[in-house]
Amino acid sequence: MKLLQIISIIASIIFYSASSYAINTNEYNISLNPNEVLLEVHGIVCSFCSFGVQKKLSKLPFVDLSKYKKGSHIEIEKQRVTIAIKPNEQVNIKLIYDSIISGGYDPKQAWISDSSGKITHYDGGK
Amino acid sequence: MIPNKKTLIFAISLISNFFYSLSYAHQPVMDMAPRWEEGYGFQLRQESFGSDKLMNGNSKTSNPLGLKRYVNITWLEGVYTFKPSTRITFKMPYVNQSRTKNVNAQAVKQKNSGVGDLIFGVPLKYYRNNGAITDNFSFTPSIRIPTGSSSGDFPISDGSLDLGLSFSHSLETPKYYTLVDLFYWINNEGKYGMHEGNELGLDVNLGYHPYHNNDNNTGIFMMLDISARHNEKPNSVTLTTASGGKRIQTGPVLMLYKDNIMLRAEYKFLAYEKINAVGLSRGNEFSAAIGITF
Repeated sequence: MKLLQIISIIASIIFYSASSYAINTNEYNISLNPNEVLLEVHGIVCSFCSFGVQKKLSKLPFVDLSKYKKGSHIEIEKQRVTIAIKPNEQVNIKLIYDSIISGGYDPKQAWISDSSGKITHYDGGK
Repeated sequence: MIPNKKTLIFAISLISNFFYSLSYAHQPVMDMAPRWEEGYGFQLRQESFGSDKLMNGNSKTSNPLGLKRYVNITWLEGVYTFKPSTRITFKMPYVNQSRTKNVNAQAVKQKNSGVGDLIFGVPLKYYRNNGAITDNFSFTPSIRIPTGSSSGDFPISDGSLDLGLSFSHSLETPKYYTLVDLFYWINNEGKYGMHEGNELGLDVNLGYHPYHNNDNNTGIFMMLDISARHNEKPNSVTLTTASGGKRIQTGPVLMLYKDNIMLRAEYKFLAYEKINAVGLSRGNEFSAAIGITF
């Protein structure tokens, strides 16, 4: 069973390395174009995560599908989701949160940029 | 069906390693997708194994009759996600197998092909998301339905309705991934008195994500797969490929993905093998797959 013990040790190293990835929102350098929403989403770390969330978000009526990829851009290293909003459309942050939760992830906070570029912080938790 | 002492020690050893690894683990591709509600996916996977190496216990022995066995299985696998915590899966194999068997001290060639036994599973998952770490505990009851043929001198199925149970934990970060999966299959007695014996298994995957492009959602994923199996000895009238014994296999896995499409290639060599009495080695294993989710 030496092999299994070696596996366990390797897995331990991976876990402790992974711990260093815990997000620090203070490091966020918020920079948004007008008509965008930026979210911090916990757990969004892989390609399939991105695909599932983009798929859910693309069904929202106020998302501008002509921008980014189906209207959103996801950075898995930073757990950030940027959503393009159609000009003159009202953002429904609850619908965005619900879409991400149904995708299997946890939205923690959001920054909403209106058409003038003014940024509003939304700390809605889950 | 009371396990003997050696089986029990092996099981305790696996379980203790499982729980030791549990606190540190991660996850594989059809496990991680689709997590989203009403998501579904398919995977086509080709698996090949076999050898002409005759074993006596864990030692190679002479094979003057040229005995051998090769098996190719094409799996069609599917998954539907009701909600992140509840999925249903199926696996349908198409088997193409051949062997040279010792029948009354004569080398006899046998082969068979056809649909194998259909497997349904219901993975129940508990997810946790914490910053750049996502993990889940999974409990999966499964049933194997005897859709394969049990007739002929080299049947594909033993014709039994089998029950399986799996406990797993997986953890993933943007760079790393681990999976630990402990499972047990109760193989019931099938047609013509055939009884393949129960199976205990442990799979461990350690993954690394060297490249990902956020703009087009493409990347490369590499894993080391380690599989341990303990198969009870089948009874003397069992004519399927089941042979019983213990083995540990390990090898690399390479995955390429773009959005919802994944290509996977895997090679596993035998790190340890012990056959019950005299029998053919399972041999090294190669599999390749393409998966797609919607």
